[in-house]
Amino acid sequence: MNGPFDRLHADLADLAEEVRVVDLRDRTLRTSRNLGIRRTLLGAAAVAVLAIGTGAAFAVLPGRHAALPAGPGPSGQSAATASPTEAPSATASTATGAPSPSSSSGPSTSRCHTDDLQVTVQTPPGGGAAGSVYAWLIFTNTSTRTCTLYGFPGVSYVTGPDGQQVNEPATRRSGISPARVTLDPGRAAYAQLQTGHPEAFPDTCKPVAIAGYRVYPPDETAAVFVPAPTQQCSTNGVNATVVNPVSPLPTQ
Amino acid sequence: MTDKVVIADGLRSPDPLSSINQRLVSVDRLATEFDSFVRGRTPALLRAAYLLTGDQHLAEDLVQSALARTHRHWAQLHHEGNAEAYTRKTMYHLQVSRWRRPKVAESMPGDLPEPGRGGYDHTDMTSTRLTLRRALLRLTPKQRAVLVLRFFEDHSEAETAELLGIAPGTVKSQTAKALARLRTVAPELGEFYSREGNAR
Repeated sequence: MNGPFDRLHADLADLAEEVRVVDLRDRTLRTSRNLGIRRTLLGAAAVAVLAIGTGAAFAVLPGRHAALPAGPGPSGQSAATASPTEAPSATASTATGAPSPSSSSGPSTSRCHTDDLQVTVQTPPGGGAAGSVYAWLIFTNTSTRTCTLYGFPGVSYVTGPDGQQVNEPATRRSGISPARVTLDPGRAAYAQLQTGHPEAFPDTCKPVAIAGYRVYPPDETAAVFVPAPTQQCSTNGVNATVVNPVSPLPTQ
Repeated sequence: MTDKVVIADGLRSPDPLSSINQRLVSVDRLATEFDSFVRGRTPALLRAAYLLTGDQHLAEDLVQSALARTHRHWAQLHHEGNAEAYTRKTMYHLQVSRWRRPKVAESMPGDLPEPGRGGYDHTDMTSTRLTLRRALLRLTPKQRAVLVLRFFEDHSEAETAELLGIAPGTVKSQTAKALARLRTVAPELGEFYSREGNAR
């Protein structure tokens, strides 16, 4: 430090003391929600607010336990039940039946299963290209072991956690080879989703409100619902989503 | 309720209820830790944001936006222990993106009391504050960010460049311009900040 800048530092520090310190906790959580992510960190009270805030897309949630179309599992398996009380213990071992590509990476590191993962959605840091909407599905390893993800998630639009599928499942991006991603506990990877703007298909789109995504992690047969209320085309094949393989998050 | 459904959605473990409970406990703990992070870091973040924006409400909005982005990655950031660095970087980057919007910062001085002659007869310190605040708002947002990082947060040129995602040479030139501008718009302060930037 030398003289002149000590003085500037002191004056800046003094000026900065003018700011009134306020509690930003609630506002931060609201903003976070508005950024379009899943609110797993919110308390129960905030969830009540949220049900109102997310509006019509969620209004259809309860009571939609009727037969859904078979989920777009990555390997074509049918959807798992979503209600905790219905989760049959007999399905616990089915995940091991799915093929795990080139499982030579290490004896103790196995595939991340659906219940090892928290799946959220966010807008990519870079924004979208003209004419396209991008979203990142973030897969966070919430288990206590290291596990791996390899390949494409199965992704489709649904009208609620148990709601109906809208449009066809996302198609896999061609030309990008999947790479195995190893996730230590707490670490995350992502898969990019790309769609066009529904307005670009005025005649064929038939937009409907969707509540979010049904996501099957690669090779898994159980899905998670990821809230992300938007309007999407309901006509099969119109403005279908394209999904990239799961990739490591870019380093900050 | 919604939350529980969401969390339980992917469960297939042999003992779903115990697994749900574990998950909820861990989510609860993460939420609690996020709350204390927010409350612990907000004062320092607000002070820097106030210097960047010159306005109480804009400062709150800026900090809240940065914290919200941290919240989105909380499990990972918390695990890696770099939530604070991420939040700060995000805050400055949000300012960067504001630079590209037309004239946001320049619309702010309307909020300020114009310290006309004799308009402030408080202590000398108070008049320095007013003068400095006015002067800062006549810098570009980028110059302001560089000044705050260099002389309020005491970052080196290299650290400032890294935080803002600009070249070190740009930090140097922006710092020089910012100091020169301060001297021009507030000569009464300028005499104190008169030496050129070889501080470190």
